[in-house]
Amino acid sequence: MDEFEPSIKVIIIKIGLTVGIAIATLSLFALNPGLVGGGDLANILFAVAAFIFALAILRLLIKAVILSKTTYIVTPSKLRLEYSLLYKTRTREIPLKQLRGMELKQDRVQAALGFGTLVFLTGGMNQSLGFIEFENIERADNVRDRIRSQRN
Amino acid sequence: MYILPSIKSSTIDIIFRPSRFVQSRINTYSDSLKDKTKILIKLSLIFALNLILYSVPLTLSGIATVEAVPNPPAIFTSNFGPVFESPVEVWDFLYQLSVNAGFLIAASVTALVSYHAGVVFLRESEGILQSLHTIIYTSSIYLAGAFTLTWIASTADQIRFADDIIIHYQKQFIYFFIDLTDSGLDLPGGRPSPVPTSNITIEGQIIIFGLILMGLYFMYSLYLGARINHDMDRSDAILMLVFVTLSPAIYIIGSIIYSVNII
Repeated sequence: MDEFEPSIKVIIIKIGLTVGIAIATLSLFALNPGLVGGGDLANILFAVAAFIFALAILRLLIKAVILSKTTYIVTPSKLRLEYSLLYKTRTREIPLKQLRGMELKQDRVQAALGFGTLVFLTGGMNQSLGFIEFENIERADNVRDRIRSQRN
Repeated sequence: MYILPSIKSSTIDIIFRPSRFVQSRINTYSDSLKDKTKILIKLSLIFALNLILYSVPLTLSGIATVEAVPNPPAIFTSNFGPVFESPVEVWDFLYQLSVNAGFLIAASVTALVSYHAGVVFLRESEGILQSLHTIIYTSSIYLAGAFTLTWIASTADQIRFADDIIIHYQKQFIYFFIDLTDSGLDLPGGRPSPVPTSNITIEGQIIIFGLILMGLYFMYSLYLGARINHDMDRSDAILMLVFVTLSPAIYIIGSIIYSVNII
């Protein structure tokens, strides 16, 4: 049985990047209000941009907390996801023999850091119980190959 | 066993996860006509419910979106006179309610037509139900929200100034195409004069802030709908968005050509 935890390194880097872009964009708006209409209109656009960045950062922070409380388990017969936070728990598992397909996804940050997301499908439905995702795992291609050989 | 996709969504998704909010929960709807009909009924009910949630409070709040309500037809007063104490008030309410709902229906239908036309044009369609799902969810929240804010801006005295700015930019947008086509047409009230963008009241700023946010959320949700529900790649989804954004332009240019050549 293999048990591993998703890395939050990728999320932290993404938070850093978002904060950097937010500072650059908001500074540009603040220093050149004429660029965005001037007067109160510039203030409103500044507030809109600040709100969107704040929302994006908050969303990443929530994701980091959730991932830090998540564990992925691969047994000889099942794939399992466990998550527990403030008395709220969630587990989801799929039997290996019902596995129909696997998808390895890597965005730019994940690829640069050597992480990836593995998506396992049993019935092809996006959010149905036949769907499980191992997010931000190290050497995702190795994990995929191991599961593939286990299934065969 | 085939399971019909769930079309439930949580309130938190509206703000934090529009991707989950617009996604149809399944890659492809079932091919069976019976299942498609079931989904169509479910989506229609969701739209109808949202329409009620949007138009009833708007009408009850007395925001005047109708300048003058016509007198009730004789058949209405004769049938409902004995039932209601004041059938004219009921008629006024129903008339305003249908007009308020009508605006959102018209906007949603226009959005659906241009959105699905864009998807079909790019040869990426996964079916009309996928487009319908995207439009019903996005228009029920973001478009309805934007409409409500616009009505508030146009009627509340303390934020009348925000309304002037909204009208100013609408007129500028239309005049851009009038000048582009060199048609020499004029809008009622003439060319917009510059509106000073300072001294907007706090309420007005909040309204404009909300409108911009609703507009951005609406466009982003359409983009996500194309990406998730129609399985488009990023560039195609952006192209589709350009198509939807250009549709008012096509409508305005069409109206200009019609006005110049036919009327």
